[in-house]
Amino acid sequence: MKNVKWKMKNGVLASALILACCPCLARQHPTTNYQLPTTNFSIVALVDSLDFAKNYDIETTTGTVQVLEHVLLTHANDIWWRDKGGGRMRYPSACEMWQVSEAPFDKKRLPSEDIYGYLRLESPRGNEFPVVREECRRRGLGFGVHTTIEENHWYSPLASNWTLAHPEYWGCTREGEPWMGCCSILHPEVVAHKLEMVDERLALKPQKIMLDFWRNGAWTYAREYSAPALAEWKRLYGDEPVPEATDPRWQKMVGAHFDDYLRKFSAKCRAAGVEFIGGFVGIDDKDDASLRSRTCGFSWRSLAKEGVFDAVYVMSVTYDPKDPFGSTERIYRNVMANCGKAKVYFPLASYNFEKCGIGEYAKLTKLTEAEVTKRLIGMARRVGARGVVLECVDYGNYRPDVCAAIAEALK
Amino acid sequence: MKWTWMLLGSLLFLAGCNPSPMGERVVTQGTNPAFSPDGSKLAFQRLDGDVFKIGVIGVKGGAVEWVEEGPGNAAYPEWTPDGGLLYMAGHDHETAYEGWRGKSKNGYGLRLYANGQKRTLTTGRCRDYTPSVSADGRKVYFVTTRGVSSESAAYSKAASTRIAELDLAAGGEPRILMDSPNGNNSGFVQPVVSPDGTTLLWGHLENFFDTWRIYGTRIGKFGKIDWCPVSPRKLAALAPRWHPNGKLICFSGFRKGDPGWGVWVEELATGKVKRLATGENPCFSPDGQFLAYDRDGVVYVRPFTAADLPDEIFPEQRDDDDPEKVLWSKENVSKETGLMASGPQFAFGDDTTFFVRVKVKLDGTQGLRQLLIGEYAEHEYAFQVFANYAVWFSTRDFNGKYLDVKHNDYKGAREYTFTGIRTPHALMLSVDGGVPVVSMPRAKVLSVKNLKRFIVGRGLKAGECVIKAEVGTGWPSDVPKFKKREDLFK
Repeated sequence: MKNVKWKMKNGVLASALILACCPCLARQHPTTNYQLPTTNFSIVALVDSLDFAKNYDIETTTGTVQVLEHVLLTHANDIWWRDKGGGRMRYPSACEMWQVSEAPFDKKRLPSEDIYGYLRLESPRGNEFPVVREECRRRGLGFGVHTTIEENHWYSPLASNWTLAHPEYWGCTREGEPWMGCCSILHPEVVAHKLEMVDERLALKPQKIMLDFWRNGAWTYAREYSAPALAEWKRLYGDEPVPEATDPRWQKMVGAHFDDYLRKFSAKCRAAGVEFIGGFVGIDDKDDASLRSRTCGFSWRSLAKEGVFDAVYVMSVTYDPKDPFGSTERIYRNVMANCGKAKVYFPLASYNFEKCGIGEYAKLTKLTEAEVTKRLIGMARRVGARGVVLECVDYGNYRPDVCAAIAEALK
Repeated sequence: MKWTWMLLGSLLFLAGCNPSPMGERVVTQGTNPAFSPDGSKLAFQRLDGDVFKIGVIGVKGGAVEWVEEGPGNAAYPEWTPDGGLLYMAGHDHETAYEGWRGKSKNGYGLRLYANGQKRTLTTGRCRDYTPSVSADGRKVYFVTTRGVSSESAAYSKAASTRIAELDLAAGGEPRILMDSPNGNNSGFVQPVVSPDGTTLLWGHLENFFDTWRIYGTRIGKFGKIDWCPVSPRKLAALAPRWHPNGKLICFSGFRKGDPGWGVWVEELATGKVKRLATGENPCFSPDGQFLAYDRDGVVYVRPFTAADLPDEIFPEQRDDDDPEKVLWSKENVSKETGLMASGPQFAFGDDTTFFVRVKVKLDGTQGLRQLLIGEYAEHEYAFQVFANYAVWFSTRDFNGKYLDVKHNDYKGAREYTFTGIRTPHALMLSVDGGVPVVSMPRAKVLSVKNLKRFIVGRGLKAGECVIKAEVGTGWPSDVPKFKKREDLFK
């Protein structure tokens, strides 16, 4: 504990120094020639600085500013900066000690020889958030934290320290095989840890936090057969054998614990005056029962109507390839009509994740990517969305013609 | 700060004077303890501020002699038989970008501290760690990232770590002994050689959905086909250390329901195991009478007695004991052919080991060829073997989600034999009767019961053909079987 306090103290000191130096550091870089937002419509950039690790020295203030400068070429006016990749943090975290997240200091963690395996963004030196926050404030940009439900990033070197240290909370299969990839939400200690992480994110002073359920690190109901889950099943269903993970009763039981966690997450954000956004993939215009396996068992529509989410980010839609724009707009309108007072963001994806990228629409409609961009932004504005989200902005992945179309659509 | 350390030291001393009922005694703050050859001292590592450093302390406590305390970090101490101290150390202070741009050669290498002198054994922009020494003091075994690509690691063919050997007397470059074909979600840690020098054990991660398990092989038999799992499947296990009698090991382990990582022991001949305490990184004293381990950053020592001997057998399901039985075959197909087939013999459920073997002539170019598809009522792609820029054997999980295993040995125009095997726990794929690549999804596989048809040769190009396609149960005769623990410890 002493070490943790010592580190935190130094982290705060380092952050203060970085902040103090920020204006003069920022002046060393020419500001990108972009227009300050003149609209209430948001062009949100999801930024994972790791994706720029081979372009800029992102462990330095200079490199962080360079990343932001590059991102602003897209004309984004709201920046949601990624706080972790799996369990490796991008800020000094008391919950996830940084020293042991650096391979090879925990032998349970495999090292990566790629540049990503040598980054220390969770160390006080590598802390990007004070820089990004100050730059966003100075430039009149929105600033949010993009966080994820995952405890690993589909890759052993990116597992969570806390998870590796606490096998007693691991999920396991119905056959009783434990898996070190993630913990079971049915353990109260796991929820408590996740909520401590929420406090850390709030301490970064964002205007909003987006919790991404697409990056779930291979979470599945099939690995939620933890001891408390089995006990709860017995309490609810007596001696009835524990079912397969496809059983709706199992999914409902597990999903209720995610509901509980999200309500607590939301309450913390509300108390801090921070907007809480849920991000979901594969949205269609039907009931979302079929999506529950991808959203950890809860109904996002119900939680949005309840007011748990201040905003919903539709990360992808399952449109009809025979009528891409028509079916997309129907889904958009359905979402707008079914999530209460929650604001809504729709995707404007360069990558073709979930077959929902700009390029996929262009291929299906024979339009140019710039034209698709204008159509998708126009559609989002027409249905009353709060904005569109660029998922995600990497080095050069939004082409200049697409960026120009974004600027034009904002006029 | 000084007062805090004095207070902590006093508390540790007092705690050390009062062993717990099971005889557990606090030694010092630290982790990864290792007994000296005479059993009187413990080497350990400690996180002090931001730095890992290495110290030596008497088994009964006392003053710490700091061997390595920066700049940089040091970890994983291990004694040589003549009283030298081997460990990992390095001062990687540059940014990752500087290192990646070739401006840093700093990584973590091996060091030897002996007779008051420090000797650098290995250097380079890599990680060499968890060293151990053979009983004769001549060889050092460790894991390394040497030769692992620094580009696009997420798609690398090489394992994240490999096992290497270094001649301690002669020095020179380390020799890579073992790699895993499963790519960078697989890896090794803490290889340790038996007291008689015949057997190597290590912690093994087979793939992303796996959990650490202890594997072993004979020294000199380093090909994957000779490796065998030593610890039970339902036990997460790593960091093995030998008992001096060569018949027992201790390790860090966890099974569902435990309160945390535990100190486990296993009798190698029988596979019996026992959990002794909550803790990690155990090691035996040279006389086998004590165990040292760490828990929550504190090093403990406790006696190891007859009452601690392993007595529990984990029931293990055998996936591959039945011999091959071919149920269906088709020869000489050069264009897509759907072949109706049905019958209870193809109702493999989710608990029968079956295989799909396809002998094909392919031109080696890219492009999807679905060589053999099993279309079932439960899923139209219940299983298939397909080639593109590599070759895959795929199936579905209980929920219909795609699962596969990939093999990279597909290059050039020639005849190939691809054999996919599905056991209740794993997917495997062998090319030309070679050692199969293994994927363990840790999710129940799809239960297949109602076969509709087999589809052969979809997407074949001109001049290509399926020479023979077969489906059967049991272990295919052309694929070598993996060794079992009994084979290693007869």
